[in-house]
Amino acid sequence: MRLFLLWLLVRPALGVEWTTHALRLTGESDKVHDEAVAALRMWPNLEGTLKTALIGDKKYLALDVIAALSLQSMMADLFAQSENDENGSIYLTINALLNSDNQTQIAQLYLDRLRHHKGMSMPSQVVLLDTLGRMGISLSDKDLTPYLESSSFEVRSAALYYLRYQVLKFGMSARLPLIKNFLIQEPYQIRLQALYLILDLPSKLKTQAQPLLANCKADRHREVQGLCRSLAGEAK
Amino acid sequence: MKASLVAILIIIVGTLCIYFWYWRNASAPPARGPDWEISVPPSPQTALSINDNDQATSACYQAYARFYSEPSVEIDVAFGYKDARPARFVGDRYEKFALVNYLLQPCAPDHYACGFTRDLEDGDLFSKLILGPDGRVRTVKLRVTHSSVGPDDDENRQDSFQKWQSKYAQTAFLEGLKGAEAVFYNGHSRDGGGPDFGPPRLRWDKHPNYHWYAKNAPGLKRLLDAIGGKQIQLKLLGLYSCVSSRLFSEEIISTKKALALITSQELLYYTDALNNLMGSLSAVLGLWCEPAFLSAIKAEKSGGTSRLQGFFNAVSPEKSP
Repeated sequence: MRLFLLWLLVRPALGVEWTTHALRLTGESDKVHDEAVAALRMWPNLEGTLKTALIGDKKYLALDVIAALSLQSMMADLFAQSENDENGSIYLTINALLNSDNQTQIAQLYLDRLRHHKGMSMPSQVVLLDTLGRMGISLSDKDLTPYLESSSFEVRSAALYYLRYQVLKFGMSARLPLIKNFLIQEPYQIRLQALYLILDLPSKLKTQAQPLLANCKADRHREVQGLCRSLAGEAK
Repeated sequence: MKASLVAILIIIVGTLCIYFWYWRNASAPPARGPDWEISVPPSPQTALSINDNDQATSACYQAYARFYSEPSVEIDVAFGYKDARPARFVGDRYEKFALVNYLLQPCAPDHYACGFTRDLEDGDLFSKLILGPDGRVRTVKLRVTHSSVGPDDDENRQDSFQKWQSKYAQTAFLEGLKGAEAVFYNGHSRDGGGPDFGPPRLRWDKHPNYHWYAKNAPGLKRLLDAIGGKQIQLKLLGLYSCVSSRLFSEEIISTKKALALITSQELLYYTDALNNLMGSLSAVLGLWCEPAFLSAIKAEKSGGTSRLQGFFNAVSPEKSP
């Protein structure tokens, strides 16, 4: 015990940084991971260190530590930093801290951010749509429309993925017609994504979706046309 | 008495440590920008800056003359299925989207992995015009694919679209190995079983079945089959995955000696993998000579754990096996 305490005290002077342990949180065995978590839990003033790191070049390691240690106390910092999240990584860390106590607060934050999305990075929009989809939080048609019609293929793909959750997991079959527009959009990958969603529908909804297939039976892309005709019950 | 001495010793050592800690942090350089954009080496030498008289003997010029021998050049970036098993999270879709977001931005001075235009009908195909080493225009076609359809591995396994996406990503990778000039893979090594584009084979405890991957090496076998053909265009293969130097280099080089390789000698943190990939892309598009190329793929933050071999001294394709 004394040796361990001594080790804790001398390690900064020996050049062992918190980042050394943070790097061991991924890609290592469970044992190494658990040792890294234990060492970080004992780290003096870890939260202060992480707050500084969040605005520097150790940001991603800091986010990993916050997620691995489930540091709820960092939530306010993450909320503040997420406003300028360039690649969605801060939102993903917030997601890692999601629990029954903070779920409502986080969902409300995400809803607010999506309603006033101007300036929000494309990857962040995708993360928020994914998260609300998985949580079963319903965006109004008005709030969802900018994402269904986004100029970004990635955002539209995420909006379609959101619809998949709404229709398949949360029984919101009233939103099925929204898939129709995806079947005439570019690029071809989004038309395929929409068709695969229809493929996964239960048989009753699949029957309801038949009118949506009218335009894709003669699609210019061979795979899209083939799957469309197959879903429509026609030979390829 | 003995306990008191230990306590005093701890207090003294602790005080010294705190002093050193503050001293070191106070003298630390200011933090750099945190994003994935590669830092550009100061005034990198490029193949474009080499005098006419020196071109025949310049390894830099000759490397890019080989690379840009055709008017149109294809580069493929393939994100493998980046699960976090035993956790359910899968991250390659987000990483790809972040990269695409950057590729579509206008270029700042001396930046090259940017300013691309997306194809209307193929969402994974991008293009831009650059100058080749001879000063003539080249079209760069960049294909960027990812493997997962969502961020949850459990959900992905129930999604029909996942099967399509995995097959599509793997096919794009294998076709790239035959027809592209460069292929960059960013994903899991699977202990020698990668590159891998699908949900992993799991053990009972939800960890990837590394034993199976190491024994069967399905991804590596497919890779070797693809590069083993005689008509391949590939000149540069980057494997931004953990310990790829040890797991893949030897067999790849013994299959295709003329192939230049970028690999990682150690475990690779995900932002370092992205930085190194971006560095490679910047170097190839900017025609950077060896020092700048090495600097770009070392991605200083990772402590220089990457390796580039065979690009600036590759034998001519005619001598390839």
